Amino acid sequence: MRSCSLIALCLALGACSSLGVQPWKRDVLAEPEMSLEHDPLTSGLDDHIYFSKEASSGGRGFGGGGCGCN
Amino acid sequence: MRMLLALCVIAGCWIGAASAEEVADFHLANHAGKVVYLDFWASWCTPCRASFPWMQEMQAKYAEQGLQVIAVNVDRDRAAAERFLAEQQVAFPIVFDPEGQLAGQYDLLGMPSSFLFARDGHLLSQHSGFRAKDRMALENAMRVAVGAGGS
Repeated sequence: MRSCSLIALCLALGACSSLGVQPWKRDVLAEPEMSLEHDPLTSGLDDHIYFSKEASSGGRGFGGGGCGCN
Repeated sequence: MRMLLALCVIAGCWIGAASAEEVADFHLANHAGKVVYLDFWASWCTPCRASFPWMQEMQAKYAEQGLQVIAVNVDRDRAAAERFLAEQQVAFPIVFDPEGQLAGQYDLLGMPSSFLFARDGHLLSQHSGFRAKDRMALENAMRVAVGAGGS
């Protein structure tokens, strides 16, 4: 039992070893359908307000998250 | 008439078509003696698309001094890449790397990513992203590399 749980724990160590999507494999994530927004117009307005207040923009979707896309 | 139009379009694509090769056939050493600007792009990446006219311009401007732009496509969907290329008048070679083999080797940080190699093949500089303000610095690096003098 003990060795079983030890093996299970050791296996779990590797579970998070390959997190994240490589920048060149973000094709699906860059699709408009994949962005977390319900209405482009509303988010456009939100972005404008955010930009005006914070002097920064972007980072809403995966496509724009650090890869400079979309 | 329609037939003629179709033929014209096909001919136009043919003339405008750049040489395309698969990633297995691509070797940087084949371009020894030239300053190589290796660009990784995808059709789904907006800045990559925006960089194409600029790369065209650079290729045309510095071709005589020995600049060679090579664009590596990392689209998994080849048809999407072909569709984009059909809209462009690409005069530099395209390398298709759908599996991201080359992209993995170069360990890209973002898209697009570009690498500038000197004539002897050593890496001069690399850059990630393509913004309007990057153009000047990128062109300057090219100009220095081809020996046309920096500014």
